[in-house]
Amino acid sequence: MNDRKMIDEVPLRSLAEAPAQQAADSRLLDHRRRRLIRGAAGIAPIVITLRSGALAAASCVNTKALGTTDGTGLFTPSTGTPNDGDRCVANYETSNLNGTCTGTQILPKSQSTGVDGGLYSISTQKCSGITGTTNVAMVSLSVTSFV
Amino acid sequence: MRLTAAAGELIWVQWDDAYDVYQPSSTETHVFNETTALILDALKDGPLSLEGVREWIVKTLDAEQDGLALEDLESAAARLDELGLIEWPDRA
Repeated sequence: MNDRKMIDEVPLRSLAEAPAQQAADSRLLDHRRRRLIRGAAGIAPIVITLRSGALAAASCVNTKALGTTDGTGLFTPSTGTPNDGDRCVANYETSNLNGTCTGTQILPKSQSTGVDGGLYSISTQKCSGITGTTNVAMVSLSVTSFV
Repeated sequence: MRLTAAAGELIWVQWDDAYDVYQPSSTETHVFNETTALILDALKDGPLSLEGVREWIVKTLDAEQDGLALEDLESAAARLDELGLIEWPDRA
């Protein structure tokens, strides 16, 4: 397994340049030093995923509506109600990996092409990036997903 | 539980006690605190049970045994599993 690839100016670790034991000792001291600085409380793990654009579709909790667009791009929800400014994800598929999602998990079929349908407009009932018929998921633009 | 290949591709940036972590496999960016980073660290040398991970983290941080609740660790591990960074086949 690769060590962490740090891209800031001062790498946290440089295990590749140090003997394994020295690196391990240094790592322990580093963690303990910061532990002392921080104090006794608060070692519960935290995972925050920053989501943007169509990647918000890979969410268990942010799905607002599912439906289809017609030949003009007009969106008709089959479930849920989209809000103005929701991100549209075209060509989605649903999944529930490992049964861990409490809601509907939307996964883009491709993360490189054809998934970002722009933003939904409540006035036109269309997504800015969709002009034809496709299935569409609306997701909120929530930027965080907490454990 | 064990690390996945995606975990080996992570790019880390440290901000005090937090890490910005870019995941190329999903093009997502995560924020981990030190304890979450240690979950992945603990698995670098091979698979461990949830209890094993907790013991490793507690020892590394020189913390009290009850300072890290197993249920908190379980939630974070489940999320890391969902993100594809660890595999946890024996998860209850």
